[in-house]
Amino acid sequence: MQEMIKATNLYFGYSEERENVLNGINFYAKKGEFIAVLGSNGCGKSTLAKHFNAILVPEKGQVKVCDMLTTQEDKLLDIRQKVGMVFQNPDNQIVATIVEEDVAFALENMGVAPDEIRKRIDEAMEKTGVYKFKDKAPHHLSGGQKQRVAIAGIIAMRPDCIVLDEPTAMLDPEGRRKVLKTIKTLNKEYGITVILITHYMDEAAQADRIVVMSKGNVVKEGTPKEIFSQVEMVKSLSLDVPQTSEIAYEMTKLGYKMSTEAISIDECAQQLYDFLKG
Amino acid sequence: MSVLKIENLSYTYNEGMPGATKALDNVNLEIEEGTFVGIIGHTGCGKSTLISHLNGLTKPQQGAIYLEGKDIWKDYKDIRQVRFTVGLVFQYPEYQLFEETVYKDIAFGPKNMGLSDEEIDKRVNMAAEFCGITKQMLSASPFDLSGGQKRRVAIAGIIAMQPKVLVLDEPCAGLDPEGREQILSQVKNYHLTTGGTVVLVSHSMEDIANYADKVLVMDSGKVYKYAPTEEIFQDAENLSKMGLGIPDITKVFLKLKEMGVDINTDVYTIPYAIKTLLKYKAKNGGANNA
Repeated sequence: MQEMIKATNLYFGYSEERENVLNGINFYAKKGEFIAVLGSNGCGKSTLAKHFNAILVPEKGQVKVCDMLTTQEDKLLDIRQKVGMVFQNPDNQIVATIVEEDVAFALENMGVAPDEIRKRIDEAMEKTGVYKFKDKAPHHLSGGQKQRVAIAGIIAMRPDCIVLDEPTAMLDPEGRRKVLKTIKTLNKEYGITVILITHYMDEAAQADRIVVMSKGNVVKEGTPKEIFSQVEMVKSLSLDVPQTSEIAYEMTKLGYKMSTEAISIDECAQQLYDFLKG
Repeated sequence: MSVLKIENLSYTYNEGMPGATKALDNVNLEIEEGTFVGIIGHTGCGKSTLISHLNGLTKPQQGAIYLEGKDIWKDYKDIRQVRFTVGLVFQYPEYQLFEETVYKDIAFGPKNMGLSDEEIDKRVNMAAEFCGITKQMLSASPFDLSGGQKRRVAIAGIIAMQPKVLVLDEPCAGLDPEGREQILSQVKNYHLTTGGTVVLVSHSMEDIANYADKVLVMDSGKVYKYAPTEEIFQDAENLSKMGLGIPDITKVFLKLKEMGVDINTDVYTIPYAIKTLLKYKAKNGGANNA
C-alpha cells in the first residue's frame, strides 16, 4: 500500500535553550488508514501533526506527503490541499458569519469556480451532517456542530488526509460521539486517511492502528487490542486504558484469568457473562 | 446547614426577543457545607448559567441565591465579598493568566482582598502547595509552563483566596489522563483538608463517579435529579438516554442485564464492579455449577 505521509528521523525544537520536542521520530500513515496518536501532554503529538502539512518544517530529517518533501516551497499549496488540519478549539477556526460561507472559505481562496464551489460545499456539508445548519451563524451552533463545520471546510478541499488534533477535547459526550462518527464515515466510506490525536481511549480504540508517543518519539504501535491489552505499559506512560481492559486486568490480578484484549462493550460483557455463568 | 441555597431560580437569555432561550427553569437546590457536589448534564442544559449565579456574576431574573442564609443580592455592596467567598474557576482558566510571574498571578486575588503582604505570601505558598506548583515555578513566567501546569496555577489563584465554596467548570478539559487525575486529586485533597465545599462541573461521568459525594443532573434548565452518587447511577439507563456519556463499565453491566443476568447496574467504578461481580458469583455461582 502506498504511503500518505512518511516522517523519517525527524528532529524539531522550538528554541535553542530548550530540549528538542521531536527526537528523531519515524512515523508513517498508509493511504486509507485510520491512526490514533496517543501520548501525555507535552510529548510532541501536536508538533508532529504540524509537520504533516508543512505548518512546521523539519530541522533535521524529512517529512514526505505523497512523495513530496514538505521543505519544497513550490509544493506547499499541493501539500496543504492533500492534508487538512482540524484543531481543538472550534472557535479559533471559524472565520465567516454564515456556515456555508465558512465551508467555502478555502475554496474561494484557492480560486475555484463558483458553481464548482457550490457543488463541493454542498457535498462536504452533507458528508459531515451540517447541511441543515448551512444558513445559520456559527456562534449559534454547539461546539460539536462547529467542529463538524470546521471538518466540512476541510473536506470541501477534497483532501486525501485529515489530521485532527484533539478535535473533541472541548465537546460534550453527544458532540464527541457525532464528531467521531463523522470522522469514521469519512475514513470508511470515502477512503480519507485519518490521523486522530486524542486523549480519549474510547476514541483511540476505534482506530486501525494506535501510535503511542513519549518524549518526542514513538514508543509503541499496534492495533487497539495489542496496545490496550498491555495495561501496565500504557499506565507507565501516564495514559489510561479503557475500563473494559482495566476490569479484565484487575480480575486477572485477583486470580480470575481474563483477556485484556476484550475492549469493546460487547466483548467485555461476554467475557464477564462467561465468568458469572461458568 | 446548607452553605448555598438556590430558590426558584429562573433565567432566560434574550428575554422578550425572538431568540429567547430559557436556560434555567425554576431551579431549587441546597448544597450542604463540606460536600463535594458534581454537576452533569449535556451542553445547553443550564450548568454554566447556574454556576455563574453562585458567585453573583449573573443576577437572577427570578428567584434568589442564599449564601450562608443571606440573599447575596440583598445589598449590592456585599456582592464583592460574595465573590471572595465563592471562588469560581472558569473553563480554560489558563487563558486568564496575565502576570509576569506565577507568584504574582496567584497573589492577584488575595491582593485585591486587601490582605497584608505577609498573609498574601502565606496564602500563595499554601495554594501553590495544594496545586503541586514547585518553588521554582513560582518565579517563572506563567507563559513558559505547559498547559496542565498553567491550569494548576489558575486554580491556585482561586484557592489562595480561601473561598468557602470552590466552583470548577470543566477543570480537566483537554488534559491527558494523568493531568486529569492530578488536578482532581488535588481538588479532592483540598476538600478533605480544609473541609470546604466543592462544586465540580464535568462532562466526564467517570470523574464525577470517582470524586463526588452528591450529583446534580440537569436537563433542559431543570434539576433532573440531585442525590448521592450511588443513587444517581442506579438510573444509568435514563442518563444514557439523556445523551450523557455513562462510564464504559456501566454500559458493560447494562449489557449483562440485557443478556439476562440479574445483576445490579448501578456500577460506576472498577473496584465496585469487581465487588458486584464477585458478590453475584458467590451467590449464584454454586447453583449454576450444580
